[in-house]
Amino acid sequence: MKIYVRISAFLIFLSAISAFANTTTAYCLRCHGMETLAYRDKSTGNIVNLYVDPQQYRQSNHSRLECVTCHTADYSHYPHPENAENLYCLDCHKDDPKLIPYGFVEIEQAFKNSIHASIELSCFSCHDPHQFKLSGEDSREIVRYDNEICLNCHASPLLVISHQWLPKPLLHWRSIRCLECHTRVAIHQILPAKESVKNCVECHSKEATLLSRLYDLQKSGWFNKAVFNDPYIIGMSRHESIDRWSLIILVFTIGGLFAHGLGRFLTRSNKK
Amino acid sequence: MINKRFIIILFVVLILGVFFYNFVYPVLFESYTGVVNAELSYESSQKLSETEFEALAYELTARYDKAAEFVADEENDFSRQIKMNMLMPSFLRQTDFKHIKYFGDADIRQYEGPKTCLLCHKTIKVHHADGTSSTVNTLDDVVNSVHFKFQSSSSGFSTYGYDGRQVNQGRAIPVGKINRACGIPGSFSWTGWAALVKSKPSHGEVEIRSEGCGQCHIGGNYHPATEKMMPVGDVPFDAKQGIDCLICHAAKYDMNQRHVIEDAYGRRWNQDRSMKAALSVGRATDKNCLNCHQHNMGGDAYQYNVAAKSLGYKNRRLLHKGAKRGNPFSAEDDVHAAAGLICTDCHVPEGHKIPRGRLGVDLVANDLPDKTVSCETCHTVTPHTHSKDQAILNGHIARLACETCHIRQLQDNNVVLRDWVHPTWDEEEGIFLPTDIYLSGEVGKGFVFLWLNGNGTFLANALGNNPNQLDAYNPLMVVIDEPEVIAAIRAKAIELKKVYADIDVEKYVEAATNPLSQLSPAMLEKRGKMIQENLRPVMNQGKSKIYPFKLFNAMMYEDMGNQGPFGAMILPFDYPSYYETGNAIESVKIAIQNPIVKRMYESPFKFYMMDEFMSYFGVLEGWKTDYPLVDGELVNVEPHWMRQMGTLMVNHGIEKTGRQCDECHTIDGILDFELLGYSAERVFELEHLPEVSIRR
Repeated sequence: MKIYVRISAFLIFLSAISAFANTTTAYCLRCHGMETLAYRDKSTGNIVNLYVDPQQYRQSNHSRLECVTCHTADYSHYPHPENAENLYCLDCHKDDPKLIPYGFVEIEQAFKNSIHASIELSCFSCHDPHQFKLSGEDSREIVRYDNEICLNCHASPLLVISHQWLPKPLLHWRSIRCLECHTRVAIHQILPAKESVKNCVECHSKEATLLSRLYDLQKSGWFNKAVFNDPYIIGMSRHESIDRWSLIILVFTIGGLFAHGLGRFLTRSNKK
Repeated sequence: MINKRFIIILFVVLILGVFFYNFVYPVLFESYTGVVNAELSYESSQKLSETEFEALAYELTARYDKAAEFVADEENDFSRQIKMNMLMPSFLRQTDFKHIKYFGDADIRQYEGPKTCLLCHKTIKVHHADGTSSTVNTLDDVVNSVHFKFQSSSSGFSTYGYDGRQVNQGRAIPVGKINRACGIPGSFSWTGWAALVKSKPSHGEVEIRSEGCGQCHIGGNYHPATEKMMPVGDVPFDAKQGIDCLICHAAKYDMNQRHVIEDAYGRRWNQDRSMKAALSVGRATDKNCLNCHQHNMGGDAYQYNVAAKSLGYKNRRLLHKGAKRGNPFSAEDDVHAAAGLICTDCHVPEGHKIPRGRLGVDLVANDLPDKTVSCETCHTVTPHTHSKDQAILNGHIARLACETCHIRQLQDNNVVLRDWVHPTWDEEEGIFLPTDIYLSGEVGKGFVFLWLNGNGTFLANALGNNPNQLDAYNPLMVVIDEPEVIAAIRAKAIELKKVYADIDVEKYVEAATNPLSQLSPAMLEKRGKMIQENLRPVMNQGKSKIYPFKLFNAMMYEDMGNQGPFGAMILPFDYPSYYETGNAIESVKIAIQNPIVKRMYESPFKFYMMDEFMSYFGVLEGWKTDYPLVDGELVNVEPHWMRQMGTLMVNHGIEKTGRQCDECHTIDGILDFELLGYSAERVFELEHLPEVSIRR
């Protein structure tokens, strides 16, 4: 009797395995697709979330990879190893010639000089590899997405106080990325607070540093840049010919009005 | 001149209006509804002499019990007393009950109900959830609470009518425990408020027993707060003075004072207005809440129901043997009670308004419908902190309520099927009782798991759906098919047939196990259509989780003139005649002669609320006012089971150790994945998890 139970249990096990290879993403998502998969870290007391949103994963740049590609085969069984393995972007991204244009090596270098490197953050502190997706072209969406990453850690009432010097801070936060002022050399090299941009003219001018960054992502062509550049920035969003023509129209309008008024003034006695 | 005249007329009209509202309306109201109001007095409200007061104060100090315990070994009465006096030199300063000093200083030597409390507590400060606070009139706060009115005429119900409308979202009508259709009490609050029943136990003398809804309600009047059912008018002064503040606030409340008394005006419930109780007032503790609420959680017959041990100095209360929910809140059976938590730790009140929680499947009013009462408030989203499977256990919270794993079963005497139509003689109590056809607290029998998104139907069915949102899940068309249960029901029917020869056992079993079989094919089709069109969208709202539920159904007499695909209007029983004679039909006749039931069958009530009520009930044609008693005979009245099992939410009786993986993830586990709407492949996966197989 007992042996039959064991055999049938084994058969069930086999059938389950065949139904679901334990190396597929779908297999892992049986648990990691649970929205509340989390535990409380014993040393910090913080909640560690282990949820991977299946939909976001499927839309991410890593969607073609199976979980065990990065997480090694140790993770194909439950329970998983006690100590989590250390994963690093460059483990994969260093030698792949296809990925050279994305500049991972440069990013690594910039990050090493970043203020963030000094407090032992890693790539994954900001970028969740399960959701990672290359930026699109909508600058407003890029601003929202990037600032959300910063605010995940930096959202605090102190933030409002330290940005009080900025006219209309909320408008700035909605329209540009934190990175525009807090980096200069490279986008992953975050500067200490006191080295950040604090001079309005650095952005609000024709030679704005902004142009070389975020707004390079805009569609090319002078017309697009000048007219359809989503966030209008005082002092920066200008095109010389349009400026010139606007000035001419303005001068003519004022001149016309003046001439009309003058004419009426001079002919006032004739009406009586 | 005209102006002056106008002012005089306006003034006279105003005076007449006030006079009419205050003096004529209440009289008209009483004569129309047949309810009685009078000044209320209580024997236990006695004035104490100075010496008596001091002796009582002495006895009530916290040290008294400790000192008594300390000298318990002393055999000589006198020396025990001397020792006691030595141990308690300055009792007034060390007392726990602050009101001993307050009453002492204010020279209060008699407790006279709300009047006495309001001397100091005319207003109270109410702290709201958002951190603000306000000052309110205490008496108004109590009078307008669900604990006094037990209904609500405002929105805030998570209940949906079978017509698809959320209760009281449009035109509001008074609904709640006061008038909802419920088979377990067998009566409704006007006909069954306070009854005296003559019991004839086989071994013992004839005894008068107390019974009725009023035993658990704080109003001490001859009827529930009927005046509050109307859009205008207020509860009379005398009725407000009958409010029992102490049952909730006194640590030394004597439940033996809670019995029916009869005076020149009628019957009502007595209460403890002794100085002993009054001096022990404070914030409500679990003991106070459980004076009444253990009755519907653990039940009257529950071993650790403290209140049920004090049935009354006279006219002892009748105990209800079958449990209403069968999930007790006590240190013995609930981990929170054992940890010393009290009810108001989770149900945090705002003044006298107490939150019930956002989820609710039945038609019980809720004073604070927007206030959350949930496990997560304390336990956070990661409640499991030391199991090696903690992460995966926490993961289950997205789909399972905590209660699903942490309530293993209900009490054995949990009533699943109750037959009011065929009463059974109870030797021990000496009365006829409704026959409990099936009792069980076991999983799959009296205790089931369903999806819930927080909404319920007008007849207490949990609404929700499998996240796949398919129509495969439909708890409103299910039947009892467990062979063991059917066999037990058949055995009970055979037993009943010995007394009621006209019972057709097979038909009886069919109706009890498949209540839908009582519907005509046309009605059944209409039912399916209404569920699909009106309730399916409500089931698919929000986020559902699997919750445990207590199953329930009852056979009662119904007014078939007012029937629809979800049932007909159930008729109440008159307790004394039912209990004493066992003649169910006669007791219905008596109960429906109650003036308020007669009024229910008249046009004003029809237009005021019954049409609306019936629409929620799934009867769109409106309320038919054909009074079912003609020339002393019931007309168009038939005995029926309600058309579906009710599902009552259970949230107490929490166990520390929850269910293990393989109790669900196996073939024939406690969760019926197929009934829960999972596809065949998903059921297979859930029943054959390799991780669980390895462990086994």
